[in-house]
Amino acid sequence: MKRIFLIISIIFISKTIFCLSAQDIVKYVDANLTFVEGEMSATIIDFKNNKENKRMSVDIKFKRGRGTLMEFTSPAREKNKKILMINDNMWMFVPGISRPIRMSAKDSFMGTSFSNRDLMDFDIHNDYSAIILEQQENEYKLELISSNKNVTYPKIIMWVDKKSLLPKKQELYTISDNLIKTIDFSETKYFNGKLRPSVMVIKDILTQGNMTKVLINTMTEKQIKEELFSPQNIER
Amino acid sequence: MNFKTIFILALKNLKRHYRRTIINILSIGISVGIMFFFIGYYRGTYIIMMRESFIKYQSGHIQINTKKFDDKKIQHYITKDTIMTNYKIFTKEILQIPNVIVVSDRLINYGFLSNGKEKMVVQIIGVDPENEKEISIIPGSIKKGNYLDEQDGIVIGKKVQELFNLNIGDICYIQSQTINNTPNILLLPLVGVYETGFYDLDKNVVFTNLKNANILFYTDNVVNKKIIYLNDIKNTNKVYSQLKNKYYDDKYEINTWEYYGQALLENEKSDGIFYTIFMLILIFISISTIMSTMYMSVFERVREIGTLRSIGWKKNEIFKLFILEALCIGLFGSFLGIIIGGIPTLYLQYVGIEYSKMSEVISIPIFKIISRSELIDIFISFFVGMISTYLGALFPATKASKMLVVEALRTN
Repeated sequence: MKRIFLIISIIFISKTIFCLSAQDIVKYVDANLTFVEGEMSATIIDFKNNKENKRMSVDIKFKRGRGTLMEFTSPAREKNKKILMINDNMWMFVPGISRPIRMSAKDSFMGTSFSNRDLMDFDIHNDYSAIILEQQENEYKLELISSNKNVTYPKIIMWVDKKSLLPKKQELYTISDNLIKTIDFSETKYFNGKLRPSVMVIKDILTQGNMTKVLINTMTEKQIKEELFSPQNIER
Repeated sequence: MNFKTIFILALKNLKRHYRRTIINILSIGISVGIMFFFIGYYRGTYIIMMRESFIKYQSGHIQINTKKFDDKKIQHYITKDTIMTNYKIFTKEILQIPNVIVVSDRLINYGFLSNGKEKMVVQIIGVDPENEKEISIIPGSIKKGNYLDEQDGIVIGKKVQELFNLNIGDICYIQSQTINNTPNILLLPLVGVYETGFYDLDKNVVFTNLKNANILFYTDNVVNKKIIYLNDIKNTNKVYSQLKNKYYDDKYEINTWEYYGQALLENEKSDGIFYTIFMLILIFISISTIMSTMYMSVFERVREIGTLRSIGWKKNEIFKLFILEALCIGLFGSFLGIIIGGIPTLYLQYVGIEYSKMSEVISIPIFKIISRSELIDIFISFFVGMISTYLGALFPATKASKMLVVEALRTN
């Protein structure tokens, strides 16, 4: 009886996975990359001409549907700077400046190859409609076309691991359909029970040897206070 | 004593003391020559060449953009409030205004140029190639390949081409922000390389046609600058007033080249002050030379002055004699000065000195050092030469005329 149940379960789960729509896959990818709410600490290393140019450490608090708050912990001159993103709006708080500075989500993140949105927005399924371009034994190749004109990249090609439903690679395209950046995801690790890539490398197509690496150090599921996601409270 | 006799005697005195006369004539001649040369050089190189170069390579005579367009805010060059739609109708209207020869519609923004290995910040200018051929210095400065046409392509400066080691036909990546503030990249073949000699231009500005610029900035057949060229710089204010009466409202801003060329005008002004001080020093040296030699002449000729006074010459006749001697020196010196200054002036007027390479060092748009001399310059130079000698001779002549006859005769 147990065996029959197991076989039926396996068939059911396999069928569910194999029948996933492209949009579902993107949703799974989003869900697999972060918790609904929680904290994350990361190290961002910027390389120019294959040499380390800048290294920053950040703590990120996020609550899906509410916002993302990033706080710099190092280097010393960036320490205590905070960036808040709520939907498409973004503010930066710099210690010593009384009012938060409004930023564009599409601007470069602290001079790196990432745009602010690349690092702050963990949900791409809301902004893109996806189709499956190719299906191979181990991976899906998806094409994501933006449904929100505020996104930085109108088109993304994403390779997703079939088994884990985690992204392997992304190609980011401009409005003229030219490749502008690539993101490679690697070194999957468990973070608080969630398996996800711990290293993201973004490369600018216009320059050789320039790239930005994001190393996820920790990620925990945790209740985050809603009040944190307010420009008025950002300096507290 | 009649004037003619005094004048003949003055000439004979000059001949008698020919060494002193030659020194005085040379002193005046050099000062007048330098002055004559500098007036023509200043007018030619500063007022005409630098202004014309600036207008041709940068500002045009008049520019029109929307009120929200701010030349200093480069990150906001392409926004919904800075672009001009239906610009062709507007251009046609402007072309009806007398003295307007070309209206260059441009779509300007900043971005990156890359060869796929490195990238650098550049100003990207979308132009109408046919229009630009009439007024821009770029089509005439193409060193490799061709200027733009309606086909896809990009024209870059020689400095960038050397930096990125690009050849004609190579694909260049240009990246910029679209009107929606998203990054966009276009891959365009390199069709031409220009060299103007202006470092800023050759290194920092790339040109493509308006079609490509609109694709890059994700705009639909728009421009953000209208650059108006006139048949003569002198008509700028007249056309500006006409444009202002016709189009000035809450939407458009109209400025003449003087608005953009404030640094150039300041430079002109400060150099003008420098040249004036330089000329004043030269004139002062001439006056003091004349004065010292004339004093010498008075002291050497004390007995002669006493004799002249004793045979009936009046004080004012002695004064006239010395002043006439000085004015003759002034006349010959000024004449010599016009010849001394005239030779380099004529060379610069008709040949000029190629100077565009120097703009790398001085950051001033000069193509050539030229001179534009006018007839009035000769009169001014003559006048200054004569006045200098008159002033130089005034005190010695007064001293000579006031000498006591007896004491003058007694002097050894």
